Amino acid sequence: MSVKEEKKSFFSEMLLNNPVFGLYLGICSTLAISTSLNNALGMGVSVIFVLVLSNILVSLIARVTPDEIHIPVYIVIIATLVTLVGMLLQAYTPELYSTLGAYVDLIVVNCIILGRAEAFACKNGVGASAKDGLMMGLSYTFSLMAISLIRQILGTGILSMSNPFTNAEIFALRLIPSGFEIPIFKSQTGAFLTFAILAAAVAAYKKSIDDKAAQAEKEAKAAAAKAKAEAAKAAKAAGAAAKEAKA
Amino acid sequence: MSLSSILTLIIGGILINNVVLTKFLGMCPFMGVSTKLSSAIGMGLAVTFVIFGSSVLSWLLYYYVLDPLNIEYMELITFILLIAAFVQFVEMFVKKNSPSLYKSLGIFLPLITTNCVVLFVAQDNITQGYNLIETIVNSIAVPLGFMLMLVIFATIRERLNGADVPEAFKGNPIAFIVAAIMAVAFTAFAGLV
Amino acid sequence: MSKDSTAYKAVLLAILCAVCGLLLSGINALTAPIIAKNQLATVMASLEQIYPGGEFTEVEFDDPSGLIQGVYKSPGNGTIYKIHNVGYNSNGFTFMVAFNEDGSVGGFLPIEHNETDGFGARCFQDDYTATINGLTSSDPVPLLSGATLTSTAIQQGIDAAKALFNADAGISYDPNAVAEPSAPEAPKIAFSDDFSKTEPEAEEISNDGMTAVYSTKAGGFSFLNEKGNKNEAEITLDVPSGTVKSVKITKFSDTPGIGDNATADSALKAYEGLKAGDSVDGVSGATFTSKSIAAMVKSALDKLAGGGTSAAEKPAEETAAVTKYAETEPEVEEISNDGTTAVYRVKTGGFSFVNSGGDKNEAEITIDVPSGTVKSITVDTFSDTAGIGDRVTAEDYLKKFVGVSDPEAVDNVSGATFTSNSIKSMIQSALDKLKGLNAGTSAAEPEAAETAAPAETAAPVETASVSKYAETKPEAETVSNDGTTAKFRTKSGGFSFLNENGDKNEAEVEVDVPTGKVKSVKVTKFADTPGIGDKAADDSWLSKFVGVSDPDEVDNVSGATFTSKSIKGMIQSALDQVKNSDPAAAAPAASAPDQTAAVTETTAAPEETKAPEAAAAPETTSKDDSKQTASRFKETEPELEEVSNDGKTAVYRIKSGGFSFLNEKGEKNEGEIEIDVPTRTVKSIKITKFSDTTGIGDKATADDFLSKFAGKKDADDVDGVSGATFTSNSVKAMIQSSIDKTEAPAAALPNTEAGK
Repeated sequence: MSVKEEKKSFFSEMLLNNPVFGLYLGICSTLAISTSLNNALGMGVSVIFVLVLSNILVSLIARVTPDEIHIPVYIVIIATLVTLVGMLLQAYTPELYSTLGAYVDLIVVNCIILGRAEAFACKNGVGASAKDGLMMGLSYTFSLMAISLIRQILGTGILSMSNPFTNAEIFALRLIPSGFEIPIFKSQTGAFLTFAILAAAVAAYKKSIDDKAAQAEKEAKAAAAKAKAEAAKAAKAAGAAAKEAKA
Repeated sequence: MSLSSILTLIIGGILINNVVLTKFLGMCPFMGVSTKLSSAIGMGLAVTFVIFGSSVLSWLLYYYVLDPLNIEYMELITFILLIAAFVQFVEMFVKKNSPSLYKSLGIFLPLITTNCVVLFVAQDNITQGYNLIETIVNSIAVPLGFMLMLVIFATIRERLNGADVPEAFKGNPIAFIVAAIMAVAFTAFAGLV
Repeated sequence: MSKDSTAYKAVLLAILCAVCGLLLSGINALTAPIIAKNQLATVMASLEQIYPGGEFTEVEFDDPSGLIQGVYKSPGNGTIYKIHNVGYNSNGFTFMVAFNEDGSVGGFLPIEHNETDGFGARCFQDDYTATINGLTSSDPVPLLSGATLTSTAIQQGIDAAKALFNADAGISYDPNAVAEPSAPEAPKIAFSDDFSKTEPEAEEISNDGMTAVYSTKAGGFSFLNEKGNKNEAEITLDVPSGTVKSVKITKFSDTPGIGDNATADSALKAYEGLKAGDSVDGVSGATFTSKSIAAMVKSALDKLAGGGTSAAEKPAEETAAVTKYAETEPEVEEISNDGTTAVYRVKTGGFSFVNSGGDKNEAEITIDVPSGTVKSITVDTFSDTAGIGDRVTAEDYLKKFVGVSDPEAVDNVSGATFTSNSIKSMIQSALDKLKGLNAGTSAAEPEAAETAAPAETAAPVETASVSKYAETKPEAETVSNDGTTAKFRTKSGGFSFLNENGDKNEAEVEVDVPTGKVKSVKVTKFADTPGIGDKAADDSWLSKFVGVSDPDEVDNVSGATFTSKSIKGMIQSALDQVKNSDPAAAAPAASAPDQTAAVTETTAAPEETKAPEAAAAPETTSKDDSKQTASRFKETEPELEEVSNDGKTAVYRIKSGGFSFLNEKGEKNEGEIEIDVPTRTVKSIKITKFSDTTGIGDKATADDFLSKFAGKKDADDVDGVSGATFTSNSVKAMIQSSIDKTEAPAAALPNTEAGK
């Protein structure tokens, strides 16, 4: 595959196999956190951290883990990682930690992490697991950022980001004039709405891809049938010609 | 701690701070389970029992083991292990005593372990500093709110199946729109107590 | 061991947990101090905002409310409390409140909140935070209207902090005090202000040329707004300089915790050295009480100066009435007066005028000149609240004033006090205007001619005064009279008797014969409502009558008007006995041949309210005091017709009005009475027409009641039927008229003296 094609497939992969919009995993924190870009980024990074490390650890330990206790083992690993992340966040980015609140600990029960551990990491090597974790984490982060972007712009009118470690503002753009923002997007309702629309969009995109693929398949089939028919014809003609030559 | 504060906890837990609509927890089973009313109720009751048991045990664990030993940071690990163990225990119990129930619950019983609500309630009791009575009340009220949502969603989803939903929204997206409307409706309960 | 053995699993888990535990404890050790510092830093940032540059130490605390999250002391500055509570938004909010070392609020800093803009969020904005910043650690925290939940939660938090702070600093305060809604500035009160609403009274107790002491009263919050009592004070003045020496509150009737700020020694000290024309700072939040105190001081100063400014002294009726309704600002205009009927157009302010500067009510009032009573009222302009005040202007209420010479005889319409007072004020001003024309007919004159209005003031004459309490139907019986002290056993009807057909109250009254003053009053039978009327039967109130020659010198007990009047009725009847040369008389005397007394019957009031005055029988000089006449039952308007009289038996046909006639403009009752001429006693009585209420009044027409009159010389020898007073009186009137009509055989032919 060429670089361009690889990139294309990377994005479509992200979109189609998106754990959030495609598989509806890890929704809880998605909806709760996505009020601002900062939060989304903070949460996303934490999830990537946990996901990658847990995938690595799980793939390492999977071989020596009996089947019956694999759930508790994975849970302990994930929980330890989450607690670790929590502590680090609390120490170095206290603002972010207080905004994320209880949802940091809830990363433990984020279906994505346990799901990937079960589905992929325990069956594959460390490298592959790590890559998988990274990919999943990134697509999760992007989905989170997509929702936050919409909610923050529509809800507060300002697109801003600040350095989580120092609380210094990096940039702040007012995109919607003050007084014209739609506060409902700041609330729970807005979260559901945004999510629904994005999910629908992804579903629609998925469908169109599927349709296209189905269409392409159909065409390929038709072409193949045609080619086959042609070949048969040609063979027949050749056979007839040979016969003729013999005679 | 009076009757009115207990009532506040109950009404707050079920209606005002409904864990699904205000805190977005317990969404995963939502998408999967809620089409049949009977399974919704069954799931709700199972979750309620699990949350009640595990939260109370977690509370006891925290205040009698973790706190005195000053290892509060072990809270997450110990709680989640406790929950997993409790669910396992319930699974074994149900399997032995009521195979039909076990069959109807199917895969969802072990999945309760990863239900956000369970861990949330266990931790929230500690964060809010509830005493034992308040913990018990809270641990029953919150999952009842969850069950309320399951039931409501189940009935709505049955209707949705017959409705003319745009192609892209079919399935989960429209369910989220419904959730959005319900979130607005439930904000009416704010300030009730 | 194999992978599948239990031991393996257990060991694996154990090792895993151990590793994780160690890892976490290591990280914890690393991060915990940083976390602690962070937390302190965020707190520090906020603390610094309150006390910039201060040093802070976190201290341990014991907070039962659970709202306080941290306490930080800053030496030289004060103490800061970090508080978290839940208002409207379930996530709650956090703020800090600081108390300076002197107890005043050092700062109020919101840290984070999720309240709704325009509602709860207002509690964290300048206006409200400024209010909080102006408080002290003993002040109650005000709520913010429109942000009740949030401000209540803030109030709770600050109260918790107050509790800790005041306990620490040893400051005492009232944890249940409610913040006064009034303005924080101290009201400035000048002695030249108008205190008429407080109805101040001043009485000189002593004056030796150097120091004068006055006992004063003036209405504060309780009096003006809740029909409660006035405050009382003893004011000492320095005579030469005309300045205040001291103010001592002897009776505080306003709201404890609020008004008593104005009675505190520090507040009273403000008056020392003041003289007439000065002004004084009231106490913020206790304006009513402050004004009441200022009014008392002023009245004392005025009394010293010799001027009478208080309107509450026993005045002639006109002034009392005018100042009573002064706030309605009545305007009267005479339209016509032909000597019999006078018509006035009156305007007075009701609710709308007094409270919102709206228009006054207007009415046309027709007065019967000779009797000085109301003939009719027509309300032309109603400016008060529809649905509330218009109950007062309704026909069936206004008609209660017909025949009344004192508007106070009619109760206010409950819930429409302003409009009621407005109407009453109109009537009073019309009456006053009339009196102004009829010079010399003040009610205090006992010997006045027919047109006297009912006696308000204590008139030391049998008829006027006793008739004032006529409705209590007082009876006095002399127990002993040695020329110095006279003892009477008295009865008179109070609430129970008049409204519930219960028993009369009874009392033993001792009068000093030479001076005609009360020596002692002791209630021997209390028949009214315990908890309400018994305040008027209490010795502390009764002792006020000692040395009094007119019971009206003592104010009724607020809320126990019926009983108070009953007691006064008893006292008055006792006093009358002393004045009367005839110690045996029990009933009010004085006949008035041609007067129809105005009709006001007491209507049963559900609670103790002022009982309407029964119309007094107009005073005239009676030529024949000793003769009992039917004037006693004048109101029943008896009409007598002699049927036959053969010198032995006289038969009369009589009509007299009972309940139906007097209250519902219905028919009179009719009866046939036989009198034994020689003895002038009743032989028989038969009721030929009963017009009153079946089931109630007919008990008084039943044979077993009527038969009691047989052989009686006086209708009042038989007690009326309880619950059928009107009908009983009607029957008695019939009997009495008959007896009176029957002259002793030596007398001349009977004169038909038909009542009107």
